[in-house]
Amino acid sequence: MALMLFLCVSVILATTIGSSGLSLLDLDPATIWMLLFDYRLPRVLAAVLVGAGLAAAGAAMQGLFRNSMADPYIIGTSSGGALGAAASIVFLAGAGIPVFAFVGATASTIVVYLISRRDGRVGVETLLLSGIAVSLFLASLLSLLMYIAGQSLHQIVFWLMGGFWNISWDDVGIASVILIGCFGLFLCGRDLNVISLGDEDAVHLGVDVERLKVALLLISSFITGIAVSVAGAIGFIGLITPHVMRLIVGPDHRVLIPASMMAGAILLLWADTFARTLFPSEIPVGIVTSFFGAPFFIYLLRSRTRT
Amino acid sequence: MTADMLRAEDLDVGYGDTKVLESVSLAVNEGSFIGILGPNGCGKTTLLRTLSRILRPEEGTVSLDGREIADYSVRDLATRLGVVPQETGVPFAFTVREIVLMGRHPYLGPLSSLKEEDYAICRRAMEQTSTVHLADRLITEISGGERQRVLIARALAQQPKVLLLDEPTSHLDISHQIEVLSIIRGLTPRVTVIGVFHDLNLAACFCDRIVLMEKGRVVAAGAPEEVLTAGAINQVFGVGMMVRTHPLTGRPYLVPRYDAAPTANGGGLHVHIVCGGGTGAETMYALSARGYRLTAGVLSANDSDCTTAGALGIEVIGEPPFAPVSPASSAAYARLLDGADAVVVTEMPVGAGNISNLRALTGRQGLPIFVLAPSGTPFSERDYTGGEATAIFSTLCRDGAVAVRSVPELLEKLGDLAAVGE
Repeated sequence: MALMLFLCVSVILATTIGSSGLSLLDLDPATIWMLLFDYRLPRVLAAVLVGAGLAAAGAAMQGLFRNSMADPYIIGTSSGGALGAAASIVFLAGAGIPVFAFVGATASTIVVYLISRRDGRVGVETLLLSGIAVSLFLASLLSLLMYIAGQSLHQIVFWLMGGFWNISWDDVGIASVILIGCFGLFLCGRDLNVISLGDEDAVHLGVDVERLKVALLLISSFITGIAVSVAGAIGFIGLITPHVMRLIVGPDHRVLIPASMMAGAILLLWADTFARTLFPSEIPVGIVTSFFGAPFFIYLLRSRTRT
Repeated sequence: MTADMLRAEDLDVGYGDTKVLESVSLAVNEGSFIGILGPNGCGKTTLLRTLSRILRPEEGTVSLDGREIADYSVRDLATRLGVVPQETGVPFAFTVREIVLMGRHPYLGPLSSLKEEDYAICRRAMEQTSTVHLADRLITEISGGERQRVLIARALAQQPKVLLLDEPTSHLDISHQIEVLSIIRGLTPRVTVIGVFHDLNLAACFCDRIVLMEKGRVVAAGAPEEVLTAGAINQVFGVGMMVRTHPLTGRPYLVPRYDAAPTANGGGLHVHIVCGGGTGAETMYALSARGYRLTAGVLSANDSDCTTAGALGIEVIGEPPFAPVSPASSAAYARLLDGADAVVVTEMPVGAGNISNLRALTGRQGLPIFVLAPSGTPFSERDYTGGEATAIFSTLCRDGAVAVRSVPELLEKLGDLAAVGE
């Protein structure tokens, strides 16, 4: 509840903080309206949705992989998305980047899943390792694209860092689908609790483990794919948020997933607000999340209470 | 025949090309406690995993409560069959209560919340397993024995008709082993229990029936005293065992013989051992391991040394319990002494029943006599003959008997003797 309240306050505050260097009071109402409603609010809402989605997917992946080091990109989503976006930039001059990123992200997840599948079963360790292998392979293709990109290298690098430039209400509309995915993950919460004890234990407790894995991977890659297509591969939100929230609210996914969504939304919103106001010119939000996220994560590792 | 709660018929199970189970059949009566025993790699755990539908058999069927397990939905099966794994590595810090409540999972939909009834069932499961006091502790921070009990509580919260346990006591110390097994025993007959065990004696003590497995097959099934015979254990485990009846439980219990192939041939020396009341066991075992030709006596048939000698294959002159030494036995004893190369007298108490064993030793010139006295108790304190035994000991010592403080020292002295003989 406190998180919910804090999120609402954050949305209002973030909307009113700007980098235009102008006080809102100096402007006429029409301009204020345009500035707030057409530029800042969509951006704020997109950050909220993406942050919530990444955190929820991260919580689900950590539960599925029984490892609090897992993140939503672990099954190849970010490298797939990046490759899709880069391909669009290099070959199509940047047309349809979100579509390509989404397709790349989800396709790579499906490939990882199919590689790991044996006799109708997917081992969690195999999934993890093939995720890493596929990511590395896609990263090499990405490097190749960047090498031959020439003029558009700058654009690829910018995209890779992740950010919320030029967010329109259309993007918010796309990003709002994330909420459906999050609700799906929330429904799997009880199953996630059980599967985090181990596959066989989960079967004994009445969970259809293989179906659950497919559902979790699909929903997570769907959420992450949309997030990547809207804002690029923003790191650390999906890793840190569930981790921190697990320390605070405990490992029960029915609480952990909603709590992570709120916290992820707040974190990414403030990270984006900093990204666009801290310096005279805006910096990619991915830099902000990693810059603050990594040291914070190290701090957490060394002072864990309830892990 | 529907009295069988769980029934496996002609199961063939394999991993890839390797067959792990071959035509294994099993019928478990409702309310009984079955122990599956067998050496490592004999397929015990595979059988359990097949019964719980983790593994699909290539051939054969498993039926539970009159219905094939393949026909149950995952959820339905979990309401009838509970499994306690060997050890669960829980990566996240769930509380014990949260873990036990997960036992209610098969009864809950994704959106339904736990009802008062669910909490009551879990509370009862925790009471049965004495884990109530652990409810708020973290599963990652309790001991192995406690965790095992919590996992049993979780399985009980499923309200299963059948409970499968995979070596539930293998990580526990002896007191927790007994505690956990007593808890499990207490669940029957409401729950039918099938457990895989390593400890033959615990299984013999707690289980109604034993299934003995070897190389993927069932070699024997039945009551503990029918299955756990020295012959069967030797066949399956390749270990010599002595099977006894436990004096308190009346169940069979098994003690390894620790048979060792003779490490030396003893130089063909014939050693006669005069012992009694359990004082001769260590000596007899040590000497027989060195390959000496041994005889013992005269011993009462209910003397534990007589049992030991019999188990070691040592020739004994025995008398029925409480009977005095008969003339025939005395004569046989004298004949053995005539042929013996050495005599060992252990630190036995001497009374009217065995004083004749000592009398016969006096005046035998040239027969080396070793008097073993590890504890160093004076003869007079184990002399129940009013001084005669002490007197004989003095005579023997004066005539050259050698006092020996320990069995290793005895082995050394006998070794010297054997060397001289050669």
